[in-house]
Amino acid sequence: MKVTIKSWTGVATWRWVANDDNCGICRMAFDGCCPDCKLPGDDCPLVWGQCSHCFHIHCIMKWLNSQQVNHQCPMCRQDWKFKE
Amino acid sequence: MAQQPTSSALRALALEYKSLQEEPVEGFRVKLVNEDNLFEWEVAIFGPPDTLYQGGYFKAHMKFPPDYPYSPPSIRFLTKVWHPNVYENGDLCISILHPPVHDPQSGELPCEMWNPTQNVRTILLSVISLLNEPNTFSPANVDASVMFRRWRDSKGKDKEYENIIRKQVSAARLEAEKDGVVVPLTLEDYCIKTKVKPPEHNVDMTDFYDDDYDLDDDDDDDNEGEGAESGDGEYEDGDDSGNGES
Repeated sequence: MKVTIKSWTGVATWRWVANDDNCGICRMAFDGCCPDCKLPGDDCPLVWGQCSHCFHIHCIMKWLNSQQVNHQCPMCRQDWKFKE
Repeated sequence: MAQQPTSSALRALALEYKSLQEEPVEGFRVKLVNEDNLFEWEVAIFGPPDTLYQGGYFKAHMKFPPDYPYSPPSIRFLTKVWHPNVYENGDLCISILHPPVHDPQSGELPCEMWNPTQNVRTILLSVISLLNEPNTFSPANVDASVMFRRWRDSKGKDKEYENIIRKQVSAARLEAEKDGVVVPLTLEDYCIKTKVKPPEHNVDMTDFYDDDYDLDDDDDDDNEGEGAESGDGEYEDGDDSGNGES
């Protein structure tokens, strides 16, 4: 039997591969976006610290920028360093 | 734009409130002071059994800042609480509710202070443990602190502290009756029997592929096949790398 494909539509889904479902800061889903953004995806990315904890970039930046003293991971309180 | 922080605080608070209604914290009841304001909560704390506070019913207001969870809420007791870490006016002084500024005077380490991953649940648990284990290093009520230390160091022989607490507890119990609240007295009643739901693993790779197929409704054959697989094999192929494809 021969099948002739007349047309096809490609569909893709994506998902951040994080070790948790929700951002510990804003408590929103990682697959969604932070409360200040409208659309999930590359405009509201996740970032990882060297401690392996992960947040919406906007959430962790807002927190780090509000801290005059030491920049720590809000989860484990180790010094916050961005994972390359 | 100025409203932005408030809206994210609203979302965080709404989520927390809902989760606390569904799965309460042991020893606490929460409700809103005013149904349409998520920024002020009324908390009722039950004194833990086998402590001086057993049978006590302490009401407090929690106030959340507009930029919660970036800034901590504050807690003020409405019920009279004689405690080294509670001010005369009822304000509770606990390091977890202090913004992490470097203040060598306070004797508090930044790592004990507020950070945005704290939530009402962790705060309430800290409060209940502080109740029975006051921090006498930076007391809000010096008299209570001195009295508490006398009571502790005399191993309960000096009863002044104990007597005040017991008096407040029995007064609070009348208040509970007025509110129609039954204060749990035994450990068994105190501990909430929660139905432990198995955690849902949404982030495993199998789900990823299942989602893929769910969306793929152009292709009927594929849909049926995958539907059956996700029914019985979802957890078995948790860690593989895409058997669905082969």
